[in-house]
Amino acid sequence: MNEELPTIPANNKDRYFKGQQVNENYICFMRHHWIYLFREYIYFVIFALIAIYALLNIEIIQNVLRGSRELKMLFLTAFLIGTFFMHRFFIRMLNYFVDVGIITDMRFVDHQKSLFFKDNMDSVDMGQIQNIERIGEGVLPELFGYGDIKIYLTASAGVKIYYFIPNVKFHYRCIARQKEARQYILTERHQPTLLPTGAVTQANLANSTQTLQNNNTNQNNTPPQAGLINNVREANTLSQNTIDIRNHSTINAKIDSPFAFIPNGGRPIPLEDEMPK
Amino acid sequence: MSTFNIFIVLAILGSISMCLITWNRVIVYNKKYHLPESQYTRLFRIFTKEHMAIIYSILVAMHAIITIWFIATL
Repeated sequence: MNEELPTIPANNKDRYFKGQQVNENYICFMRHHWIYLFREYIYFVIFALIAIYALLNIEIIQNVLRGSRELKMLFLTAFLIGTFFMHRFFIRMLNYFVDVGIITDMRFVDHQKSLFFKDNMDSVDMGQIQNIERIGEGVLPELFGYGDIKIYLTASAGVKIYYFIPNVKFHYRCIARQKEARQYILTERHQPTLLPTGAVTQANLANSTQTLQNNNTNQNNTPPQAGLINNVREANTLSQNTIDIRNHSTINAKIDSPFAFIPNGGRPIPLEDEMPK
Repeated sequence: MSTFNIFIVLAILGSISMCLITWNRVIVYNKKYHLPESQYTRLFRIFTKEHMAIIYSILVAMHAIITIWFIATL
């Protein structure tokens, strides 16, 4: 009646982004810093000033254009260039929003995407990350809190650089913690001998209990019930001080929890807690 | 209708079509990606891509209206 129900894993497949795996937990995502588009803002401001000036003098432009075919063609050219520039600016702005980097407990996904021309997805397993480097050089990165993150992979020529990352200190910490957690999980799964010292298996525990029972049985001056009670106590003491490798829920829970090193118990980190105010 | 006006009208139609196609791409993207936005992921902590797409649509509509008025009164 008191049997534990089997744990049902949360199905996170495609939950936050296309390609998210069943047991993959989303942590946070990031876009480039707004300064990444600084040149576009400057161009758009110049374009807007010209457009406003033309609108304010639209009657003069109409008077000039009347009856002059050449000037009409010149105006048409300027109109087409202006229209093209307006679309270009907004499409670039929207491209900024769809080009994201996603941090999960398993990998770092760099989704280099644009609305029309590009759709590259680069996924780096957290277990394959050897080192992370945060680069923030100059006045503007220090002032606005952006920078680059360079990820060294365990592969031979694996270095990946992500540019113009906002709140770079936060994202650096986030990736570093996920890397540690992921590598801990992988290490424990592949090398179970790294369990805490003094661990014994259930077989050893059964042998020890049997030995204790035999010793007590051989003592004729001890009542059988008292010996049994002592055996149970010693067995309980032994089981409390030892860990069963094969079937121990605490160890399995520790191994299965990728967020052992992460505050907030593995739930997505609330950004407000760590972000600079 | 002069050639000048025809070219202007074609440019406006192309502009509106481009805006609609862009909206379509944004909607398709939103169906696949449900990344939770916060003030740290928005542009200037304010704008999301929906905001930007709405501003884009408004500007394209204004652009079309002003241009139609312009060639009508020319």
